[in-house]
Amino acid sequence: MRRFCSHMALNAKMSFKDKSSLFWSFIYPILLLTLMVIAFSGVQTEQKPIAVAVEPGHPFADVFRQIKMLDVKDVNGDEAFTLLRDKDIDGIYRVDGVLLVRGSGVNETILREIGSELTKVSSVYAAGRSLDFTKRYVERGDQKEGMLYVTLSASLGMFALYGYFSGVLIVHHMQANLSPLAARLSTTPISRISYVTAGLVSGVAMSSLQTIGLLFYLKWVWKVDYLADPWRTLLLVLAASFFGIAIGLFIGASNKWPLKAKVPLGVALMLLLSAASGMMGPPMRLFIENKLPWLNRYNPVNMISRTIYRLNVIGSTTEFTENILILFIAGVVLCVASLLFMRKRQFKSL
Amino acid sequence: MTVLKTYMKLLVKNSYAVLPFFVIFMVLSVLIGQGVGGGSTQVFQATRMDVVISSSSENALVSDFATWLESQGHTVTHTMMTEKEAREEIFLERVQAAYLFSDTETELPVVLADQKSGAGYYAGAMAETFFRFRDAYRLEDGTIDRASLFEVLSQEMKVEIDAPEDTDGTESGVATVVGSMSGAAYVLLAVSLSVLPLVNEAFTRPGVFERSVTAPYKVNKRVFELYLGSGIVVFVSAAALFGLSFITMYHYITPSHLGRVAVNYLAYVLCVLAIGNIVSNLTRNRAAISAISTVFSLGLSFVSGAFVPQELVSESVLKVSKAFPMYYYIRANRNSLVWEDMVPDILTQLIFFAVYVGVAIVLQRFAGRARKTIKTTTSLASDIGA
Amino acid sequence: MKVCAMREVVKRYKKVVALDHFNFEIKEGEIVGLLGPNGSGKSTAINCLLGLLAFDEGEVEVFGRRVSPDDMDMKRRIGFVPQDLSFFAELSVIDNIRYFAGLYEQNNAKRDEMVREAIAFVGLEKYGKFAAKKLSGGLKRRLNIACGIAHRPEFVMFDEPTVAVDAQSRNFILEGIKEMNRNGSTVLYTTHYLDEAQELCDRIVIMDEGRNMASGTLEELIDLVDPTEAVHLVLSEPSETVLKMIADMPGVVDVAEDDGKAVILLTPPGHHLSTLLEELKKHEIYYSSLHSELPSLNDVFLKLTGKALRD
Repeated sequence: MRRFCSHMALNAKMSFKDKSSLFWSFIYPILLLTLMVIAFSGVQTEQKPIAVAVEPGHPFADVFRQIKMLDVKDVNGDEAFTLLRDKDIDGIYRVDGVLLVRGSGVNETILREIGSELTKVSSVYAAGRSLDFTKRYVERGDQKEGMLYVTLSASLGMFALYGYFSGVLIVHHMQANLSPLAARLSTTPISRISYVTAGLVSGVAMSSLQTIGLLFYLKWVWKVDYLADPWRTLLLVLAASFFGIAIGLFIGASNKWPLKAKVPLGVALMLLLSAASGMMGPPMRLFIENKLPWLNRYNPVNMISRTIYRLNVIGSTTEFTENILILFIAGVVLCVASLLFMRKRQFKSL
Repeated sequence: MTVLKTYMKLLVKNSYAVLPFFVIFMVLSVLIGQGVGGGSTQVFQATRMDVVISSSSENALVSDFATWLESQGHTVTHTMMTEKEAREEIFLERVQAAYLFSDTETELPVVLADQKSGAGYYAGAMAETFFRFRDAYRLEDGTIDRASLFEVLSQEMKVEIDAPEDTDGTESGVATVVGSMSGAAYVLLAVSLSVLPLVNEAFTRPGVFERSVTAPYKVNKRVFELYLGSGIVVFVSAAALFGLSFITMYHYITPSHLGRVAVNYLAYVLCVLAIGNIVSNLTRNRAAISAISTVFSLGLSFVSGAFVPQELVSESVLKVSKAFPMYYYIRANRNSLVWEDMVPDILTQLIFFAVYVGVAIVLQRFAGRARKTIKTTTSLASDIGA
Repeated sequence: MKVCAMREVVKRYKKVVALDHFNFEIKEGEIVGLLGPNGSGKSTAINCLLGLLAFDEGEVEVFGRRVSPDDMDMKRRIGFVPQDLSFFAELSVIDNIRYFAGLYEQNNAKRDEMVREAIAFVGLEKYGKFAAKKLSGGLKRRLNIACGIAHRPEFVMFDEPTVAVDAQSRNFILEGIKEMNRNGSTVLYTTHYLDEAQELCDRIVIMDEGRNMASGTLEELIDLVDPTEAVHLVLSEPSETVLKMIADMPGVVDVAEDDGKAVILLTPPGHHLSTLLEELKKHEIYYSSLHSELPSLNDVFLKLTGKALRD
């Protein structure tokens, strides 16, 4: 037990004293999350009033000016066409009742919807009926489903797996054919199980601490609350950290690639998985969801990011237990497989 | 060509660190491109939404609403679900909005959506319109004059798409170009910022640099071959990425549109080459190279609008991104229907390239001078004995 | 008592034979030097002894038992100082030694005593709290040694511990190893420096291309080759007659002239120089300088392998 504690203390000290490890565990995630929040928070997801030109003499010209969703520009003729082509306005309500646009998008659809509604209103009044504009017909329920939430949860999913690097390092301290230090340690009466377990425990603690730190950072600094359900979130973070380290152990032990190859591989792999989960914008995630749904179902970053979002934004525990179990069982399987790889103690070459 | 040959050998030797990275990023590039692929029609298409209607019982109100939504081209799923389940469906992006009807007539139906988004506004507006008009066609006996209602509701404003004479291509083609080429831009930057400094690091290790300088090999030739080596890396990667992007784009763009995009890409590739050389001069630490490459390429892509449309990025962030060529590269792609619209942005990138080359040269000279100073203050014996 | 033995050990790396029916053994209390050029198989032999490397044929024993990577008792009794610097670069000197000592000794008081001794042994008292990566090359080497010997092993293997080390650190290291040996440790020391092997080792094993070319004390090894002592004499009046006179003196086996100098070979070495000087005086043969060269390990190595050790 004393040795176990000394292995744990060693791993913890190493993590805190290694600048590179500190950078990837703390500085880089904070940098990236800050960039994302700055880039995507605030105005960007909010539907801004749509800039539009109305040709003089249009029957609904005055009504358009009263609609909050529209930003009517007082231009006409060639000037309006220039603005449309420069994308400074999204459409022109022509006097002949036609809406002129540059493409097919949500803004153009809303412009058509507003124009159509006014046409319909005229028809209703022409038919001798009236519309009640004072009455509320629907309640609006909001769901924070902006790009910011998708990208942030995907990034958190990625960072939760950064225990990968600890996992790789543990193996490189233990497998004699991977580093001179490991060769030296292999000549001592060190218990592999004890060292790996200690590394695993301290790695899970460090990685979880890092993810929880990020959650608090988002909550306190940027008011993005991913800690609405703290206990379940903590459990998820622990399972994710364990799984991350287990992948690191597996990739570390299953081949003889040097550390400087395994680290960029991990960075790139995590980026790929988080991109599939929506870190680089929702379209890629949608593409994967539509074309390769099984991939994202078992994409660990997506599993973690979805669950973080569900627990804390929509208060749902759907797939929570299932995802925790998948991460935990897969982690155990990877750990066992890694130990099998590491069982070999005499090597053909060092 | 000794230096160039060694450069290539070092590249191969470093391939274990670069290759998996490269392959994974190629996949990423294709995915980014695929994610934004669009249709090729020039006829206006209103935004079609996937919506879910939840009600415990089938009644005329719900049924009429569903019928109308479907007539508008939306995909409607009629089922019974709780609010949490509906939120889950929206979160998974299976639907953009959910209409939740309660059992009692007195409670208003709830439109669940991201209310700040355009889709949320549209979903709410559609429901408001339908119920208001339905109310207007309520007869004295409480029933609805459905025939008149649907006749009125079917009236739509006519929409035309403006296609200027000097445009070549379609808006959907532009969307595909922007998505694919932005992905390529990010990957090229990430790969170049990793590979170039990594190989250059080997040439600038203590002792190696001094030996190279003191060898009877012309300095200009050595520097030229180093630049040639880095140029080959960047241009081969760029060509591979362009090829992958082409797979995504070729359905949607015309040959001349492709040509314009290629010219813009070339200007960007030059900038990347110069940035790679600047980073090579700034750091020789392998860990720092990896950190700079990841943070710089990912950060710049986020703020420049490589992953999301530029209009969605806040103004203050865009101001920062204007200090880098990626912003102009993406904007040129967004304006790629008209050559004249692209030219200013391409020229801006070329100016960036010229500035970066100047900075790289200054840094290289500064580094050389710093080394000379160190050399005079330390013993030559360490070099000779090394 | 034998501390370790390798018998007919063959180790191949694909087509390259690193150990070719290699034999050797070490007795308790000895300092044995494994001497050979780079690539001769010294590190491979050590790695086989440590149980890190699988070999193709033969037997390897340590403390009378076949080497097994799971033999914890054996591991507790041995120490290893690898050629590569192998410690935790981020940790301090004390933290490193404490960790390695802690792998052998769980009692805190005893472990701390070991750490103190090891630090004093390698002369790193002033650098205890320094991060290992901040030490100079020579001090790193000393730390590398301290991590391997802190637990007071019975048998220590040093794999070229003085590579790229300054003269001061090198002397410190060699003195330390002698001190360890005096305190009862058996030492296996690999090197390609002749002077180190000559200065330090009780017995030397000469290796080349994975084979044990010869082994024994320095004197025994020198006896293996045709031993002669070379006396270089700058004669005041060199002539054929003088050379002939020298050739007839007792112990002289050969005389040759080389640019005004007479090169006289005496055998056995170390016995006839005084006689030669008396004879020169007696025959009134005058000289301006004299220089004597006893046979060295390099001569032995040259004779056994056909190449100089630094080749």
